[in-house]
Amino acid sequence: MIEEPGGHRVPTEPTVPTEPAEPAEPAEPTEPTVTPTRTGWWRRNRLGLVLLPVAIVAALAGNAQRLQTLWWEEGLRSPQRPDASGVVRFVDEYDDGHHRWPITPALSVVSVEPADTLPGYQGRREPLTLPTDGMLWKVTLHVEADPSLILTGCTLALVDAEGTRWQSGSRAFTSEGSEPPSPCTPADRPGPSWLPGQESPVTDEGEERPATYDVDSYVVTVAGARPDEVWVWWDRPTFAALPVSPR
Amino acid sequence: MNATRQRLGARLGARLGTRVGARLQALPQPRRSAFGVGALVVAGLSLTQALGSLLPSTATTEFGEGSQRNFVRAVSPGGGAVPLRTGDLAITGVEGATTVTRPYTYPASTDAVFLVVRFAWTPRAETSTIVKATLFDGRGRRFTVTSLSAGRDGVTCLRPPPGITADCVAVVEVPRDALAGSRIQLSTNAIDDALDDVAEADLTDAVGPGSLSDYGRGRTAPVEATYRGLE
Amino acid sequence: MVRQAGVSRVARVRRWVLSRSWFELTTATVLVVLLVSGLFGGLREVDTDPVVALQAGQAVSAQPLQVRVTDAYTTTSFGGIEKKGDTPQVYPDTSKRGRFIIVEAEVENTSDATVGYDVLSRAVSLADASGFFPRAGGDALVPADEARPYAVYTMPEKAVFGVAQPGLTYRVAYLFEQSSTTAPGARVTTVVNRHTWREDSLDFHFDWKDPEPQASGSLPLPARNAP
Repeated sequence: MIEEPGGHRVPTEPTVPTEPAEPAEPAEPTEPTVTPTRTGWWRRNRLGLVLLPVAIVAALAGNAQRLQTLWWEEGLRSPQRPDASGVVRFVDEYDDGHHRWPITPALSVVSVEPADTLPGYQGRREPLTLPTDGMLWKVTLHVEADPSLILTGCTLALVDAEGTRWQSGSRAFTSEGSEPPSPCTPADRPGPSWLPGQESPVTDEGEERPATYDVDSYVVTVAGARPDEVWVWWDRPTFAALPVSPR
Repeated sequence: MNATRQRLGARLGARLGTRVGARLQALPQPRRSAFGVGALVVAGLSLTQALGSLLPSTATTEFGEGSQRNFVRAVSPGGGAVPLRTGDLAITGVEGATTVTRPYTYPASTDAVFLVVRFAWTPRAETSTIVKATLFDGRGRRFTVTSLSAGRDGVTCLRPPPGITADCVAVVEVPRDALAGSRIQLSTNAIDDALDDVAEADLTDAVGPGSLSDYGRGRTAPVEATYRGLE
Repeated sequence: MVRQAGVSRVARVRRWVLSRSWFELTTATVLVVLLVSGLFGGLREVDTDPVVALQAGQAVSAQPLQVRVTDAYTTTSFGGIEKKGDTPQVYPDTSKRGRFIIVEAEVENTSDATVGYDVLSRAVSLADASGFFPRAGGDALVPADEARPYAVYTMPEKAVFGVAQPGLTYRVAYLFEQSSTTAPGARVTTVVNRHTWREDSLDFHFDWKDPEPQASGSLPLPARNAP
């Protein structure tokens, strides 16, 4: 019994609706035989049963932070493939919450071939020493893009059928020559960039980018690698997937 | 069952006063299905416990331990490479020194000993590197160095393209009494290697069997990271 | 009318309280004490170890370290070593906007695991002075007890004191940068701080946290500028 401030008493005998009412004091020791039927159980627990899959999904989602950061945000999972003419009309956007700009160049592969020299000073070609089992590739991209687009900060990789990814810029060699600074813009004319703290994009004097150009980059792979595709990306997870041999 | 409860309630009531007895009688009556639910809960807990014990070390409060511990892959110094999740690792040499030299850096000397572990790292599907070394000694102490700790000791390793081997060095400065019965773990993640592979080498044979009080004494170890085949 | 209603409400509350059993009243009192004291950190006695006097050359046990402060001085240029044979040159740290207060010490890690820069850099601090740069690059001046070291080096090689391994003792130098707009004192209050091993309330990771003064003392502060 529970007493209420008002002084009146409320009966609090438990009432179980699915069970038949029992006598207050069984006259005989015979137990009431209540065997809940199967349908009864399913019925009584239907709310829990409906919520169970929801709870399981919620529990898994609550532990899925690695999927979120490593795959959804940072994984290369969203390829853009070429049209019939072998050109990827790339559509992406840079957005860090402060600055936002479109990244919409048209990209195609001119050639992917083994190489044994790197560009050096005043147009010379310089030999290089590769690590054990290493091999050098030269990748030439053709780019068509509005010169006002910001195209700095891209990454290029050769990818084989198993998904092994060799990126440019590894510097895994010794040479008097060096890799071009960016796989997507001409070395001496990179066009506009927009660094933190700057009001608007800035193009340095004499570094205006042409509307169309070819640009070389160099990739160190393991000897005998058979790259299928050239991947180019600015902001993960979107990337351009260009077949090595043009269709 | 209800009868038992009520009889128990009455007996308790006589002893404790009718008030408590009445309360006991007023409690919800357990039913057979409630025991079923209890059994299910216990079964669920046991299953979780069993799963926890299948996971990759004893429960502690550190990252990467307890139910989040890592998968330890044994590798022997001078033996073959062990495959980790993202690449292959082989221990190529273990030496002691009292001075370590690095390019463009003033040499560091110690009254204790620098344990220098040289290893080879070959990433598999994409570029990666070894960034953390943890030495466990026979007295329960833990010596951790990372590639970020840029001090007297640390891990020095380049980031090779897949299939290319980097020759790397882990230097851990330890008291001499930490040499006996020590083992070292090498990991690709400095912050959280939970549930990931780590390579572990027992250093007992590599460090012994000579006198540990003179191990590496007076020796200088150069520390430099390179790609195999390059100077 | 209103007053009457108020009285009857008080009477009703009193009657209700008086009709509770002693058990219910005790339980309620305990709960109230527990909840209210919980807001102020509970009823457990607060550990108020007195700050001991710090003297140069005296070892102070300040978990997880043992710190022996050996020297304190000011300089504008610290730790340069000339090139000699194969050993490369070590460039000095120079203060362009004031001076460094250098505290030299021997630091031993007495715990059973590696201690990181965050704890090491807070193990020694200054007090009772002003005009410090909060850290390298900062501009607003802060009092000594808010100043973090400009750098902490192991000596003589001048490497970053990034980790201290268990059981080892390091010769180190703490550099605090004080602005030239503040006159240097003849003495400096030097503090050795202890830490507490506890769980982080956000990421549940155990670490040494909450630096608290363990020893504090005034040391002579001569100027030792390089020639």
